[in-house]
Amino acid sequence: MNLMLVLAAESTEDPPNPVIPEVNEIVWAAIFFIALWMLMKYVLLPPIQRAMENRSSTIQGDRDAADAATSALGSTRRDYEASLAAARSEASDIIAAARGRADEQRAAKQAEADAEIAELRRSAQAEIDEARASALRGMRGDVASLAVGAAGVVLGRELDAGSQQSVIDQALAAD
Amino acid sequence: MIFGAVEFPPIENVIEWPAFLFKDSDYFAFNKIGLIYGLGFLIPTVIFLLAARGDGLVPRGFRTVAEGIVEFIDTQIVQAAIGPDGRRYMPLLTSLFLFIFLGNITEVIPFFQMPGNARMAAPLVLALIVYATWISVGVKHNGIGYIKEVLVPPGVPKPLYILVTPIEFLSNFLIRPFSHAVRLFANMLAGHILLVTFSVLCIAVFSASALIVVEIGTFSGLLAFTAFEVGVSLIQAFVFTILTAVYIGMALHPSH
Amino acid sequence: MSTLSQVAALAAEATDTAADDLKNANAATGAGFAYGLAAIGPGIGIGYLVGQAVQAMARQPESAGQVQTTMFLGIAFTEALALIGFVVFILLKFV
Repeated sequence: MNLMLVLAAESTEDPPNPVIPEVNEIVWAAIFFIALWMLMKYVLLPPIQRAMENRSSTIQGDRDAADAATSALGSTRRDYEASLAAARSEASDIIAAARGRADEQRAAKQAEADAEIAELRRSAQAEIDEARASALRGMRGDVASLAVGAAGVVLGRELDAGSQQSVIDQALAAD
Repeated sequence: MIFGAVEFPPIENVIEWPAFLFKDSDYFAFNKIGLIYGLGFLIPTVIFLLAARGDGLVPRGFRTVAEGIVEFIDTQIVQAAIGPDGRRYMPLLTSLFLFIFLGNITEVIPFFQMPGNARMAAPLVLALIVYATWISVGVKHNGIGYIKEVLVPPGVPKPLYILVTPIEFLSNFLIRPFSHAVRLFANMLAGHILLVTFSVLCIAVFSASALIVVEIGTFSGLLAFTAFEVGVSLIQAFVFTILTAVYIGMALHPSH
Repeated sequence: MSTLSQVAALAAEATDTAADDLKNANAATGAGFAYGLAAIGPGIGIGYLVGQAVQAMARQPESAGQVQTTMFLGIAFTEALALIGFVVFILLKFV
């Protein structure tokens, strides 16, 4: 009899179905999940996402700045090298020009000096010629008078001027 | 019989837990399952609250954890399944992933050893929330014609609609939420029953003195399946979340 | 009188338990077949799917991440059938 009662009790009480959800568990699941969802949406997630975006934008900005600085460095270096090359070529131009000018001046000085030397030589030659001519002239007179004197002495007589001169000329020509 | 001592406990002993708070209430009786769901709410909240301190320019501590989770969900789920315009569903997807993962991982944590999602409650609630979400997203972004577009897909010969429309209705509006919930629930229940079976076997073999040698095999099997269930917990949370993202993505861009 | 009724009750109880046993045995057999048959198709399907995914990853290692995500999605869809079989097993066996 007891067994029957137990059996009857067991058969009337439905065995729990493991697939059908319990109401209280549904309630708690809904409460906790919706609370988590709403907190996540309005409180928990925004600061994290904001910080991550800030960081990535900071990193991006720093990287852009570094790129800009690198390109600025490159352009500065290019400018520097260009100006250096310009200065170098200018300097070589100046040197070349100075050298040309110096050559010119030297040539001019040389020519001047040569002309002066030639002039001096010419005037010296002229003076020499003059001196020789005058010496020759003086000597001719002296020689004539000397010879006339000597001849006069020798001949013992005074030779007239016309004959003297012809004699001298003959003597000189005979030289 | 050698395994005379092996006796699988009744299923309700394995998955049902007595209430310990609000015992008298039908709707608010709070048992171990409720506690697991509560932890699924509490742990992410605490981690994210602790992570929000500081300026966060250099991540450390809890912030690393939180940012790792957000980064993972952003790249692996949102960008992969929805695209760049899926960012505004990040709160839903993040809370789904964390809530499900924490509800699963209690399966292998000592003193819990019960996956919260092996009860139909949480999978059902989550699947219904997702169901409502993707339908409302579709209707909001494509107008009420979205329902028609789902039921009467373009590019099908006219007579075939007699066949296609009921199939689309069944697969999209009935089977989809059902399988979404059952996939998570059945995976966790199967894993739980597997672990219980191996534990029962270990105990039975341990008490049968001559068979103590077999204990090596059964216990290493139990350890291996415990490790396997850790992976299953993670993958099921991932799969539930990415399926949510796929449904939302299909509702956002119904043309592809 | 009371003895007679007791005997009758016991006989009825015996037939009841026999019927229950038969029902339970059938349910257990059906549950086993249900789960076993439900596991065949998804087993083949998941094997094929993962094999193809591994092949794809071996051919294009750079797209491994995307292939993996798609593979998990495909496994989830394929697995659903086996899991429904498992639910049927639970329903037949324990309800």
